[in-house]
Amino acid sequence: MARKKKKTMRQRYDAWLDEHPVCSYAIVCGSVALALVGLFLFVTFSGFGSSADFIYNQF
Amino acid sequence: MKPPVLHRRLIALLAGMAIAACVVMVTMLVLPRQDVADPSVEYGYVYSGAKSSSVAFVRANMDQSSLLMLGSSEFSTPASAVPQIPAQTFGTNNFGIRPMLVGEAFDQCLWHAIALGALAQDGLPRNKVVFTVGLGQFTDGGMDSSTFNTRFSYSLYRGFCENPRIPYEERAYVARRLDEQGVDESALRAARKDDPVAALDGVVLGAMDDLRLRSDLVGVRGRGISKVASEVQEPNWDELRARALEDAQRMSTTNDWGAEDHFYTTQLEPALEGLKGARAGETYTDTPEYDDLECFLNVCDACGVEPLVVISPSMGPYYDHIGIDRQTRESAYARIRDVVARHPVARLADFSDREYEKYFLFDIVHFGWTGWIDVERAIYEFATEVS
Repeated sequence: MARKKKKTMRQRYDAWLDEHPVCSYAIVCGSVALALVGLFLFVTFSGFGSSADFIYNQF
Repeated sequence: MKPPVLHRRLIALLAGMAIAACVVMVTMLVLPRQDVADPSVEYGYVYSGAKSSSVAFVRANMDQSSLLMLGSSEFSTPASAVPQIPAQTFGTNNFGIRPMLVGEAFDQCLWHAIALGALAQDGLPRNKVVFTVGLGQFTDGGMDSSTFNTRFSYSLYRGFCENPRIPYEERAYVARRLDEQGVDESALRAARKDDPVAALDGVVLGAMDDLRLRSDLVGVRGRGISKVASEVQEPNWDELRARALEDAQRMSTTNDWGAEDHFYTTQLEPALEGLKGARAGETYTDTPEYDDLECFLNVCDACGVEPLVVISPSMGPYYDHIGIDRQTRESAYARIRDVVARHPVARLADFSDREYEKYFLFDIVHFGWTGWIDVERAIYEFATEVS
């Protein structure tokens, strides 16, 4: 008897998405929103480029 | 993938972008605007880069009794080390002057020329400004680009560019110096609105800088002090100086230089041996800072602002020890005086002859107990003098 070929992770993932379309839309929507908000928060509020502390030995 | 699924995922992607846009908009609505300030609170003494970079916040906190004071790390001295700092002398008494301190450590003449151009767009209270300079700003090689870039403010530079009173020569000079300091060219072009694309960049950069400042100002708003409500009184400078001398003698007991005990024992004394002659090659000549000072004074002239340039001394015995002799220092002070003398409206409060006066500084470069009182007296007389 021929052994049934095991599905790859990608095939299982695609199959799962096909079976749960609403979840796939939610994942796309959430990922995009999270990435954009994360980028916004980092660029605007991360403090990157904020002023340096005063150091005595600079003088 | 079937077309309907693809379409729905595209819609999901757009919905994600819409949600992100909503989060940005809600953030903008939640954070108070830069020009919002509690009128019963005094923010003039708050030492903050965000405050110093926000034209709207600084202007919202000034009235006719305010006096703009531009400086750097001397504004960071805590009252626990020197009880004579402006926040104590002017902030706990009503002498008719409300100093608005603007600047942080590493803010030098170029930064202040830009800040003044931005802040003086519609004039200043009293049309006067106090500006403190010290030899630390005039070291050979000038300020390195990485340090300058941490202090460059897009909002201030945009405000400077929008001031119609700034002449072409000063705009060109500042643009060249910012370029030399390695400031991102696209930000400079955006602030100047060099072309339509740069102007569009400016909208985005301006919105981002606005949000960042609004966020940082939340912390600043919590650090204000109550305004003094008493009647205006004349300061008794002799009494204030006598008290300053008492404080100095109590807080400086471990050394003959008049440095504050904690600073001397933890910072200075352990490093002294290694610092002997360490800066013997310093000349205070190889720097663009003198030209930057000239630019600052040109901006004052263009904006109709009368400046008081306060020359802060360095601690003589310490600088002798590290190998920068008195003659070298005196040459630098003289050059500063020469630059100021070229501007008839500019006034000078020259304390460079106090290098060896005990207690005038509390560390190697910052005003101490009697130092602050003498500087504040000069500032008071300048501010209250009728032009």
